[in-house]
Amino acid sequence: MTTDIPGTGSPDASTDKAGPARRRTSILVLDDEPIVCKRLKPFFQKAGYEVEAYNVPAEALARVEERRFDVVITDLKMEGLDGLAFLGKVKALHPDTDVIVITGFATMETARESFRKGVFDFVAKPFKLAEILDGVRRIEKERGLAQ
Amino acid sequence: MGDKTASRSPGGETGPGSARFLLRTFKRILGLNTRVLERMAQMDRALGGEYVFDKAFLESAVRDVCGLTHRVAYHLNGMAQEGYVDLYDAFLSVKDALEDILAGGMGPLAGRRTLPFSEIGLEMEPLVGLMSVGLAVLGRRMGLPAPDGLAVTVTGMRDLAGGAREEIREEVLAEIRDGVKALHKRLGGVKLLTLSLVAAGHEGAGRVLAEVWAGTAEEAAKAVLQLAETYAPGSGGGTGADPKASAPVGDLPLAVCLRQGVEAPVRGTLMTLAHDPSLPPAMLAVAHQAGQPADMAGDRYWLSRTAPHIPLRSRIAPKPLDVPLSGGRALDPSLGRSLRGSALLTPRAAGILAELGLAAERALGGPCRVAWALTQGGGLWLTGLEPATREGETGSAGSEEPEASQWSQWEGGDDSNALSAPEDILAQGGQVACGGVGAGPVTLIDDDTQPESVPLGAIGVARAATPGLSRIVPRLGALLAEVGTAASHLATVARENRVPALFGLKGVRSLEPGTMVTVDAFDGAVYRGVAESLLRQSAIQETRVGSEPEFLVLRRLLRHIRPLNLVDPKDCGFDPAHCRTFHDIIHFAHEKAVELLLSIDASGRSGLGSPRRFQGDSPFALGIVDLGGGLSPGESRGKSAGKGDVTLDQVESLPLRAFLEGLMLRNVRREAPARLSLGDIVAGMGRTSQALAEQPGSAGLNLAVAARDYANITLRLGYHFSVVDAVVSERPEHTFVYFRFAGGFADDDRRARRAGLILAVLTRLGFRASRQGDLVVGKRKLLETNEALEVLRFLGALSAYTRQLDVELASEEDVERFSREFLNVVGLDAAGDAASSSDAVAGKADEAAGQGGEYR
Repeated sequence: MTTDIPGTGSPDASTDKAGPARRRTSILVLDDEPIVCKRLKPFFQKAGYEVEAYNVPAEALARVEERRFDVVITDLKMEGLDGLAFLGKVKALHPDTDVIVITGFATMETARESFRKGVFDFVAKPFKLAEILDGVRRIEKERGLAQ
Repeated sequence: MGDKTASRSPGGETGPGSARFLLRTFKRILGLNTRVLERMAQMDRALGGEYVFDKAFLESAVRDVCGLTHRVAYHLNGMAQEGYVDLYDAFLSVKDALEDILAGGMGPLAGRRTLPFSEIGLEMEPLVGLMSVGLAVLGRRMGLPAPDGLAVTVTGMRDLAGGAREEIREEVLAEIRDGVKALHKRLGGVKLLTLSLVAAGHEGAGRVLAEVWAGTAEEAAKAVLQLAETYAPGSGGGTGADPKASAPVGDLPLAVCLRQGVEAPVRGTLMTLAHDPSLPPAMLAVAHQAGQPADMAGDRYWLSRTAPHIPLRSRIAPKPLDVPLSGGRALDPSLGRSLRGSALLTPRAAGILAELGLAAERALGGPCRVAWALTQGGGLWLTGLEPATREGETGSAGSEEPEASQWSQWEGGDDSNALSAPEDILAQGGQVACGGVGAGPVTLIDDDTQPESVPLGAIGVARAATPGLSRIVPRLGALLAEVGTAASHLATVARENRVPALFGLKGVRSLEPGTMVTVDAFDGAVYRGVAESLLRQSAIQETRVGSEPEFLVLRRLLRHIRPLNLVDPKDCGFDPAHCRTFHDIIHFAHEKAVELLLSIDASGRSGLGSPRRFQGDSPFALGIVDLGGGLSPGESRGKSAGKGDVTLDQVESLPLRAFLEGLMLRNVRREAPARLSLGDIVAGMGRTSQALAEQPGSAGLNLAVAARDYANITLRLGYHFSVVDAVVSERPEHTFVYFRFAGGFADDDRRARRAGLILAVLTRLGFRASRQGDLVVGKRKLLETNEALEVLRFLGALSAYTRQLDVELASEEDVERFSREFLNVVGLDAAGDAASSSDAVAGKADEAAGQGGEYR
């Protein structure tokens, strides 16, 4: 399950329309389960966010090396690159990017480790869309991002 | 099955077989059942799009329900001394099927080449295709007019395809011939058969690729062979060289649906969800005359999705002057050489068709395209099923449906002016058992309601959400119940059938039957009339249900988990061998666990410990054994209480206390074998109870075994014997009250009359009760706490009232008179609703407690 969803690897076309005064909060979603990306991308787009979604950790990593995102939402257990390692690289590149970790294998240990690495929130699968939107909105509030 | 309770090994006070063990294990089963139902509900909600989930969720969900269900079977066997070991077989069969699905397999019947409709369930769609599944479920399970038939499975078609060994092909053809002969036998002779080649497989494509007809079994077998060869690999439609690769027609596995052909002058299709930018979400029916030239347009009717499904728009095609019309003759046939404005479908027939379509949609889990036929006699038949044409796709051959337009044009396109106003709210609250919006006429239903008597699309209103209503659910537009929770058996059935449902909605039984209402289960509200805008929003949401592989796998998994096939405990098929799903297993275990609990032999007192004598104003002596939390610790505070005696104040068992409160009502007692009027009863108040004079040793005859939430009360008064068994829980689905009564002193007739009286009163109290000779058995399940306690007070009062009454029942008139008298005394009228009599006895019991055991 490492195929990117068609069309998800490029920035949302609607980004260009947003003026500098009302910049949209940018989100990168990384999960090697395509269904998660398929659900999250349109949901956040409809809620007014700029979204890119990836199934392949290496591609997502290449993208964060190219540009900064306001929020990164990443799975923890993935083939190729561990979510915690990805989290570490994101924070090293962009310390002010907030990361939300989603995982189906939530244990206290992984949660602790995630928070030690600077994760903003930790959401266990299965989760409701409202739960993850709530996490993103809290980030926006704390960072003073426009929505 | 034999008696599972006959030989319990002595296990001391707490070991296997003891009352404490049974109660403890029973509670474990209830708790596990709830957890299974909650896990099912979570899977349901995931399927409905509420959660973001992945394959790992599916695996963990299956692991959990397997583990929990296994423990249910284990504990039931613990209670029954391993009397239901075959439940493990049923469990393993379902578990294997689930693991097979997770591994990408076809299910336990994957090896079968043909399957009659009677063996086909919803979970078999990848094996037999959507059409066979749909017709089998709609016709046999829901009782809708759909033809009988059989399916040639994906396996059968693979073995028939070119390249298969000749003897294997012959075997398959022989199976088809046998299957068709059996079908003809069921149909009463050789009948014309319709054969549809459908795309099956994991993707559940469901498309119809070809349709042919046949008569005899030989013709049918040849036709199937021809279809297999035509669409086999290397024959134009095929792709691979390996015939075992089940990959003809561009990787799509194939199946054939053979069913009875329906001769009809008018036939057509119905799209259950039609897209038209100028209309709200509607249904589109297309009607043709039989034999009509292919290029001639048919009638089109855009029907409202809400009963009575009025046509929102129609386009009636011109017809020859001599065409027969189902609605009668045309009013004015003289307008040129064609009939104009004369429809093939009457509004009534269109309404019935729409309801059939919605039923199909609910059963199949999404919008679909139904083929139908209107017979000469006016009967409507479902003759075929396909998934709805997706946006941008071309429908099957001959499809007349327009290209789908964008739903988004409707989203927000409607202002909220049509939303129901607050004054239109008829009921509000309850728990969401299944989200969604439905509208239709109110129809009161209960366990005795025959499914056929419920109009399709009706809003079913029940007192309690009992599993017995399962058979009615697929016919409903929405379901309301005064008692019930979202983690109940019936809630699962409602979600399985996608019938919007609200449980725990107080007072909803007072809705006038026939009133048109709209149920918005998402919002917990019932509105007067048809709220079109709510229905529209709901229809838009339903089109967004996921189609990713994980959703398809989850849907298939749930088909082995949540359908409830075992509904009636009295049915001869209510046994482990008929448990096809985990829901069946836990429901079976629940019912049997209740039975086993009922069989606690309190009178034998084996392993129960010493009873404490009840020191209250009871008409007879009673011993009480505490199983835990039933009695407060410490000595009795009563003046006349001896050491170890118990007063009512010390009874902490909710069900026992309520029973005793009813039992102690002196004005319902019958102290002497004489005919009593109400005046006699009043005059009798204050008499010293004979029972108080009885020796403590006789307490062994009457014994209550009690825990905080449980009581088993065995009364052996004179020559009669009664048992009350009750669990009173905060969860209505765990609460039940059972009452059993037998025996007596008088002759057979008089004893039978007393049994008749008890039966009448139990029925009046809302029990499902039955009588055989002088044995009366009554059950009430799914009760709120207060209601259950109220019922127990009535039973206490009834026990006191009917004591030795048999000798007075000289005639049937006496039965009626005494039952009326009892109901009057306890504050119930004979014809009223037991549920509405809340607190009738409770109030009197309070008064009794405050006024020396009497009320005035």
